[in-house]
Amino acid sequence: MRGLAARDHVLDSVFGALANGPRRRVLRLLRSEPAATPEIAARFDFSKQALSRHLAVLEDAGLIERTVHGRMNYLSLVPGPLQDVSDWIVELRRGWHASLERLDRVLRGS
Amino acid sequence: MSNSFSAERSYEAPPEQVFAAWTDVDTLSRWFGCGDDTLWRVHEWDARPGGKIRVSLDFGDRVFEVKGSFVVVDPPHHLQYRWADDELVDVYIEPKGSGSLVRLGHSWPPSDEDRSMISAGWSSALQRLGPTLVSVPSHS
Repeated sequence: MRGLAARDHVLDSVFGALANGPRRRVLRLLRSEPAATPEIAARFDFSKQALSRHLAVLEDAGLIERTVHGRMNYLSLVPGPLQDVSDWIVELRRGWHASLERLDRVLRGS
Repeated sequence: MSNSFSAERSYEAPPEQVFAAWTDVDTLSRWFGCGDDTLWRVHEWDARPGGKIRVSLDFGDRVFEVKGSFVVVDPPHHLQYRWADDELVDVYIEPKGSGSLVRLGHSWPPSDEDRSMISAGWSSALQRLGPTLVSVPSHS
């Protein structure tokens, strides 16, 4: 099981990567199948530099991975970090975390 | 969005005491809440199979009420109750050293969005993924 600090670090970088419309659109494009870099470039209005910057941010956050076939780079989506984000949101919505903390205090006090 | 929440927590108290913290209304009312500083007001919490649950949150101008019922009451190991219309909470308590390990599961039906993904025959990873991408907050 990962520690809290490590989990925070993952969430910081994933939320950071997701906090940008164009990058979310790139992820949406990749959610059904991998795409080569020129395909992605063709779908968006990015400059070459902007595209490689966005892809680097997504890659650093572990949201996409790159496979090299010959001269082509294929990018595909990695679901793990999104699951972490999803779990975090579910946890927040359900409010269990705070309850389980309070239970600990109650049990220690009684 | 996945349709369940699960958590594991260790407590220093023995299983009997942890179980009692879930079934004794006075104790429950001290910790069972919704978020950081809101505790459920417990109106009914009849911890017997078929026993009723009714709790509420008071927001001043409106009251949010949840009803449910107990399905499994097996002290001090397992508690299962229905929550709201179609949600299910499982609490498993087992001894761990001199204390206890609590495994909590809370599940609810997939949203319509999840269902449409499933019917479209997506892989399970993608089922989780699609709604996640849609529902992630977009502000920075």
